Amino acid sequence: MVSAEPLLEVSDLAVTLHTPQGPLRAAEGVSFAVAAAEAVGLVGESGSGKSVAMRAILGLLPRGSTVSGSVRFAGRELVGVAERQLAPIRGREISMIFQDPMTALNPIRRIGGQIGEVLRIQLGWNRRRASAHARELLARVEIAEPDRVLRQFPHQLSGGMRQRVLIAMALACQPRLILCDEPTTALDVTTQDQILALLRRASDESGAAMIFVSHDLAVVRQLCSRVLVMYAGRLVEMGPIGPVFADPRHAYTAALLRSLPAIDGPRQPPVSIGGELPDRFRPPSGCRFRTRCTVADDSCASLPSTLLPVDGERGSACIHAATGLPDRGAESGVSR
Amino acid sequence: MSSNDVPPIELRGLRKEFRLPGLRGRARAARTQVAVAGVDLTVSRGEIVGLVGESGCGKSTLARCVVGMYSPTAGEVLLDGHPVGTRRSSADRRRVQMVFQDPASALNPALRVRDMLAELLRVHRLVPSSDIAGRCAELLESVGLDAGFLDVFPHALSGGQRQRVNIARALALEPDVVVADEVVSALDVSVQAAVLNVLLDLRARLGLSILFISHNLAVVRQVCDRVAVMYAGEIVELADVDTLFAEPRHDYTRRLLAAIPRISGDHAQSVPSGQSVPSGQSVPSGQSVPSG
Repeated sequence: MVSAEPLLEVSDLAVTLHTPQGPLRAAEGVSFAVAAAEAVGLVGESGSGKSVAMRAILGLLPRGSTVSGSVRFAGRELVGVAERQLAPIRGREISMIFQDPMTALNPIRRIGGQIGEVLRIQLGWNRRRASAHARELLARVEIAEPDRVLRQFPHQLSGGMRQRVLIAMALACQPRLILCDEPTTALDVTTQDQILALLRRASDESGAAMIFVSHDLAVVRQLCSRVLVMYAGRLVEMGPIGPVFADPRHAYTAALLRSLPAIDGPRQPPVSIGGELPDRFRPPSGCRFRTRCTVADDSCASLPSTLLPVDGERGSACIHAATGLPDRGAESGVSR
Repeated sequence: MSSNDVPPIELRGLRKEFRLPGLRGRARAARTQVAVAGVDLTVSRGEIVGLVGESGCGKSTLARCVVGMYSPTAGEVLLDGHPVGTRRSSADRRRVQMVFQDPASALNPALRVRDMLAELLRVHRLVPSSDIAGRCAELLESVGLDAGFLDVFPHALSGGQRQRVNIARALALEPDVVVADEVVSALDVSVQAAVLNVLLDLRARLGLSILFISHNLAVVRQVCDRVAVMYAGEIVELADVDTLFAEPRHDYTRRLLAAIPRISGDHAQSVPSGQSVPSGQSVPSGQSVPSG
């Protein structure tokens, strides 16, 4: 399924953010590849480094952050290159859809102008051509009255409508990769359902690859064929989504799946992962999940946590992956 | 249920309207927004009732009417069978407490946990001043935090710990009813469960009645005994939790359940409903629910 040359290849990506409390290693040792037209989910909880990793791909981190490692997109290196060279890639070859559709849109400009701007700047189109195409894009994201919406301001639209506008903008230049950072988290469940269906159709039609970042495993399950799981700045597990969710090979993935409330099957009391996220400035040695893990032993503290292959296409950073984890098979109580 | 069968809280025909600003005269009457359109609801002793619905359906307005932050336009709130007026006595106010969605903004950043709790106990004269320290530790313990957290400021707490402090603060006033408004939606799934277990434990130990407001149906299914589904200011379905999830009766409930992404199975065959859910504002009076 992965062709010879992946569309995106991230290797050993590390990001250090500079905070008032000192340097913060927000992500490290992140390596993965995305094939053309593939939909990959990136899941993790707050502070896992998933959004930081996404922003690092496009060089959208706050000033003063340091990025090391390599991000190769269609044969070009994106880490360490000048802003000037990134600008034509952003929005045109790689676009991004953000979580909050209110802050991602300019509140004092009409929708038509904002979509048109993307086309004018990235493709050098004139105003007339850009605005005609903007209308077409809105129709593509299933906005019922595109002509009216073009003249409206963001505050006049509902959250779902704003997210449709952002999707239209992301599709405007027919990018080869779309990065989605929690695009449905702020939406109601029925609106989320519609937006997910729209994203699926849009990526099918355009053939664009997608990285879908979310803390919601079920949402990722709906959209993606492969999943990456991050915890405390590191990738801990990856693989085809069905097998990973059915039979997780990292203690964190297993615990996360157990903690999800089920909507079908027998009712079960809430199961939490004990403890709290580790201190981000002083993460534990070895496996970062070991402080909350039920199967951790002494060897977990000393071994480097790198993703090792399991079962061919899959990878896990858990040294107990091979010997088996307790209570595997989070799907046992969850059926459709 | 304990000695008496009178529910600690009952809503009768509760209605709340808001006037939208900016217009005068006759047009003004037309710009009245009905947030809660006549709701009857009872929470028994030791019962957890879920209130679900989408943004703008009126669930938070309802919650605010229950705790007395808003006074209803019409209808009544009854505590232990007696109606409370628009000005509640301090005893009545104490009996219904609220826990808010955002655990960070609900806590005063300049106060240590100890001071927040002690202030409540002093103002309401709940325990003699010599017992305040002990009671603070006891409250934290009841939400699963050790006394070491008493001297901590909110910024040093994680989201889950902050929400537990919020619950402890609500408990300080020894309420009969707690209104929990989206208490876990700002939390990661791995810590959500811990906070939910605190609520379940309090219900079991103290016989607390909880009105549990959430847009997350999976969470509601885990903790609630009965569920009320709210749409455009009205309760369109009320059933015990197993019945509601197994045999939803109302079209809107069915749509809500169908829209939940599942962790198992293949890509959902999502059927676009073709109609968006109205926000409270765009709903004409006498709004009926679309038969989807």
